[in-house]
Amino acid sequence: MFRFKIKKPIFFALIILLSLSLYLANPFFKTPFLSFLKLPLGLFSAIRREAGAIIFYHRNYVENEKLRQKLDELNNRLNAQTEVFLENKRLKDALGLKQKSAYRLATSLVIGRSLDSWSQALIIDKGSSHGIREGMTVINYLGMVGCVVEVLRFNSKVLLINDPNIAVSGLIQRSRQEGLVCGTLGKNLIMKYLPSEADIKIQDAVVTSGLNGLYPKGLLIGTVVGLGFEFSGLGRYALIKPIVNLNNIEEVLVILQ
Amino acid sequence: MRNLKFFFFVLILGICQAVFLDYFKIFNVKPDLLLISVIIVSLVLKPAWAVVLSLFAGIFKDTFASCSFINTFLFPLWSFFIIKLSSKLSFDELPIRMGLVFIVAIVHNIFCALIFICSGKIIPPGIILRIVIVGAFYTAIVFLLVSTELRISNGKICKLRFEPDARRDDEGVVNALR
Repeated sequence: MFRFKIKKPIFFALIILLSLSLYLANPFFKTPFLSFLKLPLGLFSAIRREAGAIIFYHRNYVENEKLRQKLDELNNRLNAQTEVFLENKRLKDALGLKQKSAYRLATSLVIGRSLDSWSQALIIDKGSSHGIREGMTVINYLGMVGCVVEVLRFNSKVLLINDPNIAVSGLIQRSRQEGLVCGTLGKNLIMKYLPSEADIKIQDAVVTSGLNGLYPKGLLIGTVVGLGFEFSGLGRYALIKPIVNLNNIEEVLVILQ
Repeated sequence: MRNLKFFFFVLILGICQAVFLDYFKIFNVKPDLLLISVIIVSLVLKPAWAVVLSLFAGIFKDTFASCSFINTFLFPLWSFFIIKLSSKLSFDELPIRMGLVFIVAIVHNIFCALIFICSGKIIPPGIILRIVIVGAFYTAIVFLLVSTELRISNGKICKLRFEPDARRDDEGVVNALR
């Protein structure tokens, strides 16, 4: 069907060789490529934000009203909790326990997202020049978002918590049952390696356990929305709805310390 | 100049895919604008330029990927196969071009899914099927919109030639009987 002249296999082999060498040299292209793309990505994402603010005006207005009410309610609860916090602080001082220092955070804007459906990643507009390092945890005001996997001078790539390449040691807040929270590329996460007799219910909150030292302890991951038994029947798994709307993140906080 | 226009065409589609497409997800799946651009440049441009721009598109996509660099390898390969096919088959008709996009998208997604599975990641089979099949359909439908838009601006940006004769003319081989 195809007639091959003597030149064509060579051309084909050259293409394969060139592609393979570029495949291997790809990491060296990333830095200049992302530096080159920073300005157009920033510009396009600014246009998208402004257009979104205009198009979704009514939705934002209704959401704003709801958030104001919730803010008032939370302020009231915070005031009540402040007393408890101060008492806790005094008691810990008295016991000589080391105080947990508050996180040092860097705010950054999301300027791009992963291009395909096989990964869930963000590009943020802060990099090593702003103190960001690989492995730092990324959160927002609601809870855990992901972690930094690549750092360039002025950009970083953040892997979201629902990417299958990321796994977080999690804890059921109520029963302190531990498990491994992994991404599935879907809207829910999966918490694996739960024993069959694990004390876990729907609506339980899941937080980071801080066991392996990668992620700080106590960051809210999500809530349990489903339970099931693994195929082997030996253990259980839980489906977790992330507390953060991962499809609609505009701004993130990177925990520097 | 024409090649430069297509370079910017690929670049803008890539940036749009990175920034805007999250609003247009269907079942959490986005269309692959860069794959569409690879297919268009493979059908329109000379082989060398088509492969170079496909390589650029592959590098662009892999820059934002969380793992593996498979697109840098696959995009030029698809470009090469489309160039070979277009010298034997005619892609004049829009349904045939949409069929080509669908087949390339589905095969590309299958490759990506296999790499995912072989690297040890556990993803529910339903999600894999959704990304492979819905992604391919969505990409084919968006190709229709993109190529229609290019036709509307035909003459302002470039002339789109999908006939195999155009490439043969460019290579200096004229087949008057075709």
